[in-house]
Amino acid sequence: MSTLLKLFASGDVVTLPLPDGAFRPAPSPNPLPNMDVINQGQGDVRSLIRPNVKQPEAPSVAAWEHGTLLTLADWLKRDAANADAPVGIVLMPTDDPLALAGRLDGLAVIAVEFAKFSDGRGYSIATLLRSRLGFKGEIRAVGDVLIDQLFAMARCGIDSFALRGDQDVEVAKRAFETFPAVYQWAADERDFVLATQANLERAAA
Amino acid sequence: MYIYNAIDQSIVDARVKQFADQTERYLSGRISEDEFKPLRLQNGVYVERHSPLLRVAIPYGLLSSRQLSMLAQIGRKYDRGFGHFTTRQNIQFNWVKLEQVHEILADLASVQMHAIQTSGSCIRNVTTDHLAGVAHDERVDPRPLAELMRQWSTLNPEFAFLPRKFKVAYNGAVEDRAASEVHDLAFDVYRDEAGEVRLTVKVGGGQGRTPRVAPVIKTGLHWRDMLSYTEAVLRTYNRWGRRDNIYKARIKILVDALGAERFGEEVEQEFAHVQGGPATLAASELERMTAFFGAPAYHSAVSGDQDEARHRLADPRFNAWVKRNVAKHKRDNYGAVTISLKPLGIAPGDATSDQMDAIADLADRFSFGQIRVSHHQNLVLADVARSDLWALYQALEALGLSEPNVGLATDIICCPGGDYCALANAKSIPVAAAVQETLAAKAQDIGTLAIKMSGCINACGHHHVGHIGILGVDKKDEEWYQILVGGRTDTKTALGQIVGKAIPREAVAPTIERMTDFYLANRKGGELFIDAVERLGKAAFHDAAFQADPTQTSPSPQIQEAN
Ligand code: HEM
Ligand code: SF4
Repeated sequence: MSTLLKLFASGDVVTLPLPDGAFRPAPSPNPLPNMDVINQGQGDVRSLIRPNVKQPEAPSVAAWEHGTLLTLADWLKRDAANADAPVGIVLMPTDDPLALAGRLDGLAVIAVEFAKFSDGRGYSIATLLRSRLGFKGEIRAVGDVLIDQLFAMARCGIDSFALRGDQDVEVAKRAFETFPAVYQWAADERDFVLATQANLERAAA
Repeated sequence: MYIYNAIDQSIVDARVKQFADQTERYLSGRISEDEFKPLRLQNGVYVERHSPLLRVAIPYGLLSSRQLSMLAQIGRKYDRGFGHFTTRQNIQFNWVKLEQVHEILADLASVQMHAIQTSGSCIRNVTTDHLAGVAHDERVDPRPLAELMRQWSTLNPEFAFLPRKFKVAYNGAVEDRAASEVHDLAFDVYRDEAGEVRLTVKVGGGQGRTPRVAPVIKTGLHWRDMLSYTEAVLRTYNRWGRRDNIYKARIKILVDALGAERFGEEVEQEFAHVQGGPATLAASELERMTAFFGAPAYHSAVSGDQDEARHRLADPRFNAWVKRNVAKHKRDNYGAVTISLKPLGIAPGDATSDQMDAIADLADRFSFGQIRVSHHQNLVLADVARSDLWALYQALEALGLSEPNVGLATDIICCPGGDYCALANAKSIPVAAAVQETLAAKAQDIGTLAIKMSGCINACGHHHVGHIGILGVDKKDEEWYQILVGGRTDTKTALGQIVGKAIPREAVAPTIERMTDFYLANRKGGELFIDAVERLGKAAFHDAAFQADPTQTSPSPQIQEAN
């Protein structure tokens, strides 16, 4: 079992249990780092560099609480009219979210795949879903969903988080409060400090 | 300079707390090695050959004396009493302990500094002209825009994990002292006929294994749209940049693949959606930001010692120092003084904590309490009254910091190389030292000559844009060096070309000396080395360098991979 965090506009965070298949399971435990070794440096690392990075082929989750997650292609092929139950889809990092223009009706959940936490395409995908397409439903991070990226994910308009199996739920809940203020606009539409046109108008209103 | 308000401070303080917590979770095994790595990198922590290293951000190279004193203190307390100023206008501490880094970050935060995004695949520290605000050839002071960019890019959530690092540079002068065209994103700042500040945007420059001069993709961009346009560039890159091979992940590869024109069109499409949107800057914002970078309280009346000319006649070394190290200032009775961190026998860019403290004091006495770091790895006191030059020179001489070699062959840019860096193919510090030693006696005669040295193809030492470049290569576990000639970044940017085969370490200095001797024998009038290269051709310099001593070259074929 793992946990789904749901973030509300009020800032409240609610936790829900997730069934297997709806989150990425915990990897094997980490060895404790040996600081004596690390503080000695790592010598010559040239031979350790692997330039090629494996790209994900399939989403890391196949399901959500109410059934399976469709791929973008499956959803686009489907006849929009026969949507009787809430539908969830999953977008891969290479998927174009703008393909969903005009096809958002009937979608309850769009899962955004973070195949690797260091692959930042999901941030732009979520941003476009919220700010360009105006999607109002749930955007869920799936895959390598780790405590230290939750703040940025939330800022990009993601509002539910299928934590990877090993993540500490209590620490995760606090992650949304990491920074007391932010500099720039993002898809969460949170107040920000840069003096932009929009900010001045907001202040005047 | 920009002064933090309570909100800026709260963000930086929160960052320190966040990293302390992340370190703690890493040390207790709750974050894996792989997952911790980008977190530490985005706080400037590398693990180098012999030790962890901390890179501290010096936004667009500007420091207060108080900040420099804090860097001195950090060098003493957490390092071995020195720091290394880099070609990205930052400072690195070479010998830190990982578990102490959060304490260093807290010390930095106490003087409005941080190490946010000094490494990692994100928007890095913004750089610009070290003479910004005082340069005689300046169109617009780029620092207010650079500060806006710094704020916008700080913890920008959408672009926290780009395909690769992303470096932004600004140039607002005729001569591009920021080498802006070899950055991922470069802004040329100017005023249009109506007096409005506008930007020419160039994308996809860089060095490393695929050096590129950035092509222009947009002209006439209004400064208020700067962040929206940057957002469009970065969103295009974040979505379409390659992530399958780290050597092909920089934006320059995407720009290459699509062509600058096509790439520009993609950006333009995205820009059409975001222009006028929430990142559009308020009309008053440039003015507000510019106020932070206003001119200090210059004296119009001359004070102090009037006898610059007499001292120059009496003391040839002072004369050379004024000629080389004092740049022309917007105001006739001021000069911008470069303190060379390239005396013989010191790793280029290194300064001891004692020197940093002393320079901070001199900045208080002579230059309104501010210091700049140049990408040439020197420090600059930008606002010194000419009547104080003699007193300042004497104070610097007493500190061993009066080397009159700015822009000369001994003012070498040099990366840490094999002495520190875990990626190095070869050492660079001892090579730079040998070149300095060999050319020292002739350096004044040779005049302006930019020698730039990197210990591997990553090009941290800018070898592609040196008039003479030196590149460390690995041949069957041995350290060899390629020589490049003809690169430049000034009023135009050009990439150097490899000449000859790789040579062993002891041959580097003599080979370069043969090139400078050839120049001395063939120059016309006041022609600079680089102009002679362009007139006589690189082949002539190749022949001068190599035909004299064919036995020194290595047996294997010429290495071209740097291009
Ligand atoms: C801490 C040790 C360092 C490491 C591991 C390191 C690593 C790298 C790597 C891997 C690249 C190539 C990036 C690419 O081509 O995509 C690079 C480029 C560069 N680094 Fe470093 N570097 C280090 C220190 C420095 C220092 C000390 C400086 C300044 C003196 C510096 C400034 C630069 C610059 C100017 C470039 C070229 C700009 C470009 O990538 O286009 N780095 N570095
Ligand atoms: S150029 Fe190579 S050797 Fe030098 S610092 Fe950069 S990565 Fe290290």
